[in-house]
Amino acid sequence: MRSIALRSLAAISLAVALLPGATRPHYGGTLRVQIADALPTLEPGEPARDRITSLVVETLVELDGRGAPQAKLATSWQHDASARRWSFTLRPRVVFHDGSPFTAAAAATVLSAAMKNITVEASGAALMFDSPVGRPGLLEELANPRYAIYKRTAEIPLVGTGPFRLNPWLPGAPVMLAAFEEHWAGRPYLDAMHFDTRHSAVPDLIELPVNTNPRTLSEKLRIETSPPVELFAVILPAGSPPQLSEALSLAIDRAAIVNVLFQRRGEPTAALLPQWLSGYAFLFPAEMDLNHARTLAAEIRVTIPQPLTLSYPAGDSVARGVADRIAVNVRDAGLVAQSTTGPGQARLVRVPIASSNPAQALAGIAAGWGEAEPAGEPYEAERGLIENGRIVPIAHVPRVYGVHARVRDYVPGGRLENVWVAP
Amino acid sequence: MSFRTKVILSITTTVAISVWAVAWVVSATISKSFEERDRQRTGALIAQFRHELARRGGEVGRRLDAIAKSQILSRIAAEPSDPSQFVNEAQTLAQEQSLDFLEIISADTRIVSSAEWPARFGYKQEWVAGVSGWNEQPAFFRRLDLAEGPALGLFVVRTVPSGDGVVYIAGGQRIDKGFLESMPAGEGMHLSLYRVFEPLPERGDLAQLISEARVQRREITHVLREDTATAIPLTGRDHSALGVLLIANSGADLKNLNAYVKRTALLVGLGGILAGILLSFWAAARVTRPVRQLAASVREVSGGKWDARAPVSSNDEIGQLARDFNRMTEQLVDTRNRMMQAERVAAWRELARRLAHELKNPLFPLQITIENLQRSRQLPPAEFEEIFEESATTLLGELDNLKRIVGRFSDFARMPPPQPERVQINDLARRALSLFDAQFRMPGRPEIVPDLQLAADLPEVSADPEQIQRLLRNLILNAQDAMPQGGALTIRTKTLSSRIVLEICDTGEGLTPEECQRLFTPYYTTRQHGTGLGLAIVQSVVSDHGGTIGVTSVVGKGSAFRIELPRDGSHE
Repeated sequence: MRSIALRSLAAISLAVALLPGATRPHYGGTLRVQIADALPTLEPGEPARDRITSLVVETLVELDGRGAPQAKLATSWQHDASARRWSFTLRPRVVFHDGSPFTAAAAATVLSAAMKNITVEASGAALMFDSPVGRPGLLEELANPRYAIYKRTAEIPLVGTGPFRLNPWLPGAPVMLAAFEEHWAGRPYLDAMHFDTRHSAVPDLIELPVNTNPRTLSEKLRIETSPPVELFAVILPAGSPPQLSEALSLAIDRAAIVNVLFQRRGEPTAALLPQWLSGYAFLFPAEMDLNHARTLAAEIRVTIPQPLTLSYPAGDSVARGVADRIAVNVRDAGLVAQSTTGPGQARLVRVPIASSNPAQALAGIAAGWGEAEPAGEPYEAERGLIENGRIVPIAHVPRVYGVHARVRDYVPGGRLENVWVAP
Repeated sequence: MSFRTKVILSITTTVAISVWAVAWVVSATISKSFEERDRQRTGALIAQFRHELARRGGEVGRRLDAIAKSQILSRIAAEPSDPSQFVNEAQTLAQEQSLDFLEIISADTRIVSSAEWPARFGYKQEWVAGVSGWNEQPAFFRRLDLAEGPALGLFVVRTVPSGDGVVYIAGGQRIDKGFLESMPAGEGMHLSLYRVFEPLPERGDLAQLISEARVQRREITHVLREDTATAIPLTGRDHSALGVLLIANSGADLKNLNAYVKRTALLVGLGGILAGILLSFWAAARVTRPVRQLAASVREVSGGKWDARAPVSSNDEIGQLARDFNRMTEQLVDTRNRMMQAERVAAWRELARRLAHELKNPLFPLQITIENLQRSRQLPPAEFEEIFEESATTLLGELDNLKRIVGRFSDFARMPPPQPERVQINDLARRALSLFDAQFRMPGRPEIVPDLQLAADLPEVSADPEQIQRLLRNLILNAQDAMPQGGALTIRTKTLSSRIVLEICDTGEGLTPEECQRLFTPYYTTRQHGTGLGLAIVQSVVSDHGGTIGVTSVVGKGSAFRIELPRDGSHE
């Protein structure tokens, strides 16, 4: 009995000892990330690069998954009643990768150059913002990676305060990041990250096209998808008759596009913002109605040039498939459309959902085809944008990754700073 | 047309017709042979085309069989509920099997994957469900509507079991110019393809041929210009014509050969014609020389040489003709001599009669006067003297008359040659007419009204003015004598090409045709006291000036003398 008790105790002790060991982060190691294309620049503010640059540079605040501002380099903030004057208290004991301290003066210098129509000044350890007009959305603005605070040197384009520091880098070359021991939140688990378009061994993480077929992947990789963070849409030329966008919207078989071309990844949509972000995307019906589409097409057939050329980015096989399918659907409606990589009357675009804040995300989408920042509540603003008749949303698609089995704590589409690799 | 020309034409025409006939027969024979050859070649090519289609259809079928046995098709058949993961498979499989078209179609006839139009996944292809036993069906033509436009393909369908149903695999090869280029065509044969979605050729005859083949759905052969074209409809499963294969046999060989035959015929014909011309010359020389000599002799006779003779060089019809001609000319000369002798005798008789008549008139008064003188010798001297004086006067008068008569005859006998100079006939006509003014208006006699119708632009002529004056006086005097009851005398001049015309017309008694014929005969007159020399002198003057004279007359209406003189005075 005693031996059984001892044995049981030993087993429990072993299990207790091992169980945390299986989930406990492991320090060290390098994460090999295979990116789709070489990077020509490392300027923060572009979604494709932000997953890398956000490891190196930081903003005063950041938005959480619900779009709410959270403290980052600023620990607290306050503003006056008109939201013209803002005061930010900066995080203490923060240093840049080159060892220099992060000060209000340094932050003011960077933000003054980056932001327009606002005065940024250091006031002791605080940072003061003065705007001639009220800026209640200043926090969401400052969460934009464009307003990250960093310095440059001759060899290193980004000298920030993030958990990883950038090794000397040249445009187009692989990106090598090393753990920043003095990071204010503590050292990251990984020793390094290596971003390249090709790796000699099976990479730990691969950026994959949305239509990736699992059968084509190594058995060591599993597919992980993010929430939908990209919008496929058709942008019509200015002055197009409103019936054209409506006819296209009714003729396009979005479900087929998502199910087949995106391999069931993504959501058919007639809205600009994804359902997870806005909560009202279902109010924009995305069903086909070919008969109605034909009726509308018949009304405008003589007024629009045919074939209607639909351009898509050269080299983007996914976009090509979507453009070809749209051309087929449009033909069913009685119009003639032709996909092309050259200049077209209409454009198939992939617009990233760059912010978890609906208004910010909507502004980013509108800027994608030259629209002014929409005013008002997001729903009204979005409906207004759609009813302008220049954009036909097709689908929201996620980012797709191939993740090696040894990669742990990876959140698809999330930040990489908390990832670690099993030894 | 001369006899020689006729001979040459006859021979050359005969040669040309003979050569053309031979050439036509040769050309027709060649054309028939070529048509037969073309028919056989076209038939062979059509058979070869059908064989090739069957072969290619079989090849497509074998490739589809390989696809049907592939692992991916097994997976597609095994996972019918999730076809989306196979959307790109058709392109890979088509590339592996070198197929232009490949569609993988699910049991519910929706496209799982399309190689030729990947974006058409999910669309229904209900035509595949209407046939059972696809795996035993032969290849067929099918029209496809692709993104880049319509296309025509040779298709085969295979099926793979999938649950309770089947997965269809429809694959094919494109039927286009590349397909035609792989077809073996003989030399001079040309293949072309018309597909129903293409505009008809601009050549109307070709378009007509294609349309007929499409409508009638059978092979049709037409001759288009120089080529023989056969249209073969390419029908789909519903027997509608989806295209037309055109097999054209070039007529260039036949055309070249015909051209060669024609060239040869032309050369032979030209040679024959040349030989014919030489032969014609030789034959004509043999045949026509005596004819030409005979013709020359005839021309000599017509030119006044009545004793001309034709040489007799043969005993054939031409020789006989020459002999007859010679005999005829001998008879003509003999007859002419006898007639001249008779005329001369008649003229002398006429002259003697006229001379006797002329001389008899003064001789009778002479005889009476002399007899009166003889009787008056018995009278007293005073009376005798008176009678003598009267008789002497009478005798002298009659002797003058005799001298005048003799002088006129003498003048006619020795008409001098003309002394030509540039004269204006209008002036001479006015002058001559003025001499008769007094006589025309002599009191107690019916008036003769002169009428001068002279051409203002009448050119001068080379003539003897004295003789022309004499001519005019004689004719005016002649007209005056013809109008004892008065009338109108018209003198008219005009220019006629290289001649001038002088007409003297009266409104007198006129002449009978017989009188007109003898009017210019010397010593012929219609008047009681005429010598018959006036118009003879006129004719002599006209003749000496190289002109002609004629008379037209109507009894009771008047006469008109028409004289034509050369403008330059040369004798014609």
